[in-house]
Amino acid sequence: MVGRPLDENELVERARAGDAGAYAALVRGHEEIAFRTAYLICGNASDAEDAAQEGFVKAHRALRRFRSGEPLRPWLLTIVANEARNRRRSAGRRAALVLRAAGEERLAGEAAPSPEAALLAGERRDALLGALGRLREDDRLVVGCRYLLDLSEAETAAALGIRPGTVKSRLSRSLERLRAELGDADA
Amino acid sequence: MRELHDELTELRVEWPGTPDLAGAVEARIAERARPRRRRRPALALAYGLAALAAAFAVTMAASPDARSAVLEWLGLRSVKLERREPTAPPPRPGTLGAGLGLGTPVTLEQARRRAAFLRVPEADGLGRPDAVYLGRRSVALVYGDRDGYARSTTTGAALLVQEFPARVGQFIQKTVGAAAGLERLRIAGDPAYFITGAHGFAYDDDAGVRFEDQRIAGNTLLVERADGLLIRVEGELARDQAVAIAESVP
Repeated sequence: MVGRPLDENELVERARAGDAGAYAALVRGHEEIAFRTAYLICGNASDAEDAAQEGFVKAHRALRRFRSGEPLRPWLLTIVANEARNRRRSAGRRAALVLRAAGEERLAGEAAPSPEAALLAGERRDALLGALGRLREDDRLVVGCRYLLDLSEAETAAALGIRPGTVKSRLSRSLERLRAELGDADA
Repeated sequence: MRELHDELTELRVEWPGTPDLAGAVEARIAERARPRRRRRPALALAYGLAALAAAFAVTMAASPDARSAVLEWLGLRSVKLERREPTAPPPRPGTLGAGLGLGTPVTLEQARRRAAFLRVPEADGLGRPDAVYLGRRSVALVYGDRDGYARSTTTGAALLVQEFPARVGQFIQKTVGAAAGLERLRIAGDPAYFITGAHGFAYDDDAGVRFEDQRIAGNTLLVERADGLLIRVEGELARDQAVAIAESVP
């Protein structure tokens, strides 16, 4: 969580009182995770941007219904993810989600890996993301939310519109399928 | 073997850049506070397009505010245009197309092998391109002197055709300089945009916004084909000339 001059509850109260700047500050704090969640669901950046923007506008309208003191992030993710699902449905096609691994981040002074090691690590990353992309949508989404986006189980449940208990069981099933897709089971 | 979930957690995904949602949301909330017409859904946009077309270029040139309002009304979601002064280096002399940041020079055959999306225009009198460049996710075909085409002062070529494997819903950003005019067209049903005057060129694939070297471009036709191919035709071209070339891409 990024440090903020006002805490989230205060910002929510101000936003409810009509302070657009306070709401913008709330959006700023959550826009990245919301956009990426929408991107996982929609599979493309343009729809994800639309979904996230529309979700935040709807959340502003619904702010009165938000229960003070509860964490805001899962509530926002529920709304944004719902918008993203609507767009995906109306798109009427399953665009394959393409994720790319970024190069390994090294700390200053750390030795560069050998070209062969870097190549192997890069291949493994690509294989992982490739296998993830081939999974069924519900498998891919639960793994993506929980591990790639690092959402909590409760947040994953909120984003996917499923019960928190379902997240755990679906995750272990999805990881099994991912292992099979990677061929790790035979290794 | 490391635990799979640890590997996944540590994986750094190259997410597309997060847009400025806070700014956009704040603007929309502020707008809602005033009485205004609701944004029309994309489907309704087809209506009235023809009637608008004539007034469009004039309006666009007249006022930047009108430009964004009209663009929003037209629902140009995947192509976003914004005014920005081009800050382009002049083309360097040398091989045709070199110094334009188009990628690695290859032969046409190499480009065909390595970029399956490539479709070479078949317009009369064009023949084979004189230089071909392979970019990260693009191919550029550069044509030297051709009858009926003026040599562009910005590219040094008669014609530059670029193709990108743009997936459906891909977000494309085009940076248009202050002097540029814009005309919206349809080519075989696909949305197309003819941009006149100096402008830079940027597009966004899922890895983030990429600038095509921000060089100043001549007149440019951009076609977003339904089959996922984004075609860009650049040169000292009249609109119909550019359209004919785009239409000749199989």
